[in-house]
Amino acid sequence: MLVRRAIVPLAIALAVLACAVACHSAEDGASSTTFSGSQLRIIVGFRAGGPYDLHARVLAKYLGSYLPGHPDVIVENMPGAAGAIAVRHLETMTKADGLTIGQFSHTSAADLVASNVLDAFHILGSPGPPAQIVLFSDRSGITTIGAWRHAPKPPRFASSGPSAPAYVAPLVAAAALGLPIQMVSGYANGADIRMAIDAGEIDGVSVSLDAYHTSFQSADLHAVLRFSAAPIPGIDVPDAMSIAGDARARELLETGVYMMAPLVRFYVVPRGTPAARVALLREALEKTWVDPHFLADAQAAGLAIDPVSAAALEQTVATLGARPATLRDLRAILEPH
Amino acid sequence: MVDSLAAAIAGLQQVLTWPTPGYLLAGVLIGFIVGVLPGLGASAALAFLLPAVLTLEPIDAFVLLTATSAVSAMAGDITSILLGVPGESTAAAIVADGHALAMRGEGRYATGAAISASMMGALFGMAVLVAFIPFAPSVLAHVGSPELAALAIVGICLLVPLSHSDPVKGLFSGALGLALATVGLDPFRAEPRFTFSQLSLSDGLGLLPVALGIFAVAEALDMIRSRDLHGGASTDAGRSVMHGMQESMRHAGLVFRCSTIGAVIGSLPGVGASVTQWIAYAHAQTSMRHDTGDDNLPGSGAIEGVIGPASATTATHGGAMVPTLALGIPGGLTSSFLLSAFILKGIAPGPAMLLPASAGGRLPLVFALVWCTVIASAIGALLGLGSLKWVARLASVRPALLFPVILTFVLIGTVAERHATADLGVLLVLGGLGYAMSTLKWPKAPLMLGFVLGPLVERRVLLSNTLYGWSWVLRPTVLVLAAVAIALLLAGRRASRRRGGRAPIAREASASRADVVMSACFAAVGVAGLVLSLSLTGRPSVFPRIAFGATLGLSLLQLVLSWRKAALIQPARQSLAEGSKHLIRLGWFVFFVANAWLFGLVIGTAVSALVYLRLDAKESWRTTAALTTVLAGLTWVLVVQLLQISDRGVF
Repeated sequence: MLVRRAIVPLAIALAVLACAVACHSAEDGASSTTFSGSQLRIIVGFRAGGPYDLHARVLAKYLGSYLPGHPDVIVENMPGAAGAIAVRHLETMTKADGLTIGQFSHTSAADLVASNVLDAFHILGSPGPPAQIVLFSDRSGITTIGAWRHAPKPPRFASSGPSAPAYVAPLVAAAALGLPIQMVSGYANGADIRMAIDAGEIDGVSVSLDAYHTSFQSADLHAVLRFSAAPIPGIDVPDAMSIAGDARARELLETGVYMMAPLVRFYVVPRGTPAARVALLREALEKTWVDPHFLADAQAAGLAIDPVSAAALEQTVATLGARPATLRDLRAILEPH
Repeated sequence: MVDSLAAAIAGLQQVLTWPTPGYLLAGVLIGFIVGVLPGLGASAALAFLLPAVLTLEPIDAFVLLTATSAVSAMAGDITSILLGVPGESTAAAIVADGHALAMRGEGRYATGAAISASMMGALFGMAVLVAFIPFAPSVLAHVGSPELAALAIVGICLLVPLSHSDPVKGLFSGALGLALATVGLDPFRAEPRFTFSQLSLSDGLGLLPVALGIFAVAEALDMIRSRDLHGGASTDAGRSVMHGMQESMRHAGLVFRCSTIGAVIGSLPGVGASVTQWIAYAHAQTSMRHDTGDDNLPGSGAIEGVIGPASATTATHGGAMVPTLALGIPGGLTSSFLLSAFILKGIAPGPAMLLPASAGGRLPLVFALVWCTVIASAIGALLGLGSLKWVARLASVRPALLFPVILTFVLIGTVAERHATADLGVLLVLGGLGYAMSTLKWPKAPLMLGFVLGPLVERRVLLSNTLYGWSWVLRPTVLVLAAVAIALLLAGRRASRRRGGRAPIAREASASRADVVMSACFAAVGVAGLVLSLSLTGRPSVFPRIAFGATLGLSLLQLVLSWRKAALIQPARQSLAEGSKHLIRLGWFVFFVANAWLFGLVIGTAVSALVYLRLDAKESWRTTAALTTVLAGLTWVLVVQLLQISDRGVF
């Protein structure tokens, strides 16, 4: 009886609330040049708490203030299949109204070209390429490229699987530069890999600069190689491209690692989104990525920011598509054994 | 020593300086609410709170997150016991015995035991954190894939004591759990296994859809069966909360051992409370008293099955903080949020955390987190005991009204874990499986143990083999763990012998023609799994073939045993009528799931509840409309506002 007495007034209150929300929602998307009264959703294809999620959440805090109407921005995690579930959701389940944007990640150039990303999505931009560096443990005895090249047995590298940057970058570098390597896949995540290094069961790993600063910076780990034309403060190691011996090696590195770097984390909206909204979103992202408060939060979170525009990314994807022979070579190099 | 004492006092001062206590209380309340509500977990709450960390003072942010995660596990036990629905994925092991106790009118007793055991586990976990953290870097440096593989195999050996009431069915259930764990992309070459071209299965089956399907759906469907009775689980009769708390004290040895399991195993990255609760549950089976009759069979309401997992789960929290603070390696999902908060606040966890403030370290902060966990757990325990009277009223609501509410939470929990409506399909299949296993009294706990340990066994055994060949089995730690595994197997056999006279009750009840049909169906699953695994090659094929081979072998053995039993028993006349009742119950379950899939959670569950309450439960229009509106509103708040899920059905 007590339960029934409580239910009826509560039901009426909730019904009134639902009507209010329905009326409020009806205004959504009324105009393509304002986001007033709307809620912008960022779909992240990886679990909450990880680096991809962290990036989206810091972005969500500031992005709304650069859009007309100052919408609320929320993050929704849709993890699974290395981000592919989020891609499919955005492709098939999302209204092309500019109120849902996706954070995508691609590591394999061949897979990116095969996915026809430009046919299904408008690229909005990338917060920047988190430079990759190769680290070796103290126990491996490898502190230079020369020592890696002449290692008595191929050093064991760890990765979570073929879609991870930690898998792609070292294998492409080894193929391009003629370095010995044994890739050991199957580790669950960065924490697993870090523990495997500490336990001495693997010798090296390739990590992003973000991950280096947050999880891998240690006196027991030595950087040996970087995949970045720009020098990295505090990490005085050669750039892989600078020691590539011939044009084929340079093209492999460029196509497989350097051009893919900004595509490890980039934002999109589905094709069909009104052009005015695509332009507003691109502009807002570019402004957010140079906002000093955003940059301060990103720095605190150990996130490197070096924005790449939508136009530059679309040009990159088009260039990759024009290199079928190199993509074939890369596919063979990255084939799991 | 003096430094540590000063740091402990400084840490307590930090926690007690306003406004930090306010954030601690907020964390306790949030943790309690998400813990009690089935489907809403600590990880969802922490993801929701993480952006707030950016604007808070560091100590306030850490206290808010720590208090939330510390209390949610404890609060989840209350729902598991009283409603039979895991309040948290880490509170699933407690359902089997805890809810059986509640159904016998011992809800207060079981909840008292769970809360006090949780409290003791939390304190133990914190003691381990303080004592172990200085040695953590050197100890963890000796833990590699071989040691983790051996540990996982020890866990698998616990299937034997867990199955002693009906060894063949128990071991089959464990093998099926291992087989289910192979669904998804293989961890080495990312080859799809048993995904049937469904992207949603590529990351495997989610823990919550499996736990909710196996345990909660059967419980919800049982409510339809008992809708004419007044109340499902009762808390009014039976022993008191105080008796339950005293029971935990009497089982101090079990609490100590299970807390050790939680804290030590939980300190290994990747092995969280979802694993340790089941290992502790299995261990508790070996510790049961043997003088209390059949009520003490696993899953029949043994208090050890409540105390063990409750203490292990909260102790895991302390264990998981060891590598998080000492190495910057998150011990589990919730500690990965704490690590993110540290990073956001510019604090780099590592050995320097353990130095006193005078040496540039952050020892006072470590102690502040310890104090925070202790205080939050104590307040959470008081809150749990204080609110028991109110929460327990839910259990005395007529089952007809409770059924749609429980099923709605089950549906929300299923979708909430990965924001994937495709997981409703997993719930549908496993809910049917769980209901069939419940009805025919096949043990379900071994299935969960196999399911949570399967990925760890496969990953670590094959990694060890890749890195060391077979020489890894001769490493000293592996040999010690092998000895532990043998001891567990012997203990299981001894327990099985001691119970030999009583176990047949379960066997005879289940020795029916339905058992034959069930065994035949499982054998078909085994054959199908083996045939499909033939298309796999190399390492990805090894584990599925072993798991499905064991599933097939054990189901065939059970088929023979059930066939013999069935031949001795006269077929029951009412079996056809009973069968149609089961089908009607399953029909309602399918109806709820289908509507949620077609129309989204908010509209779908409202439509389902409306139809069920009018057509089947024969409630008045007033009650039906009121309850449906409340459910729709609550679902909207949880799904759309809090979890921020895009709630769109197929239409």
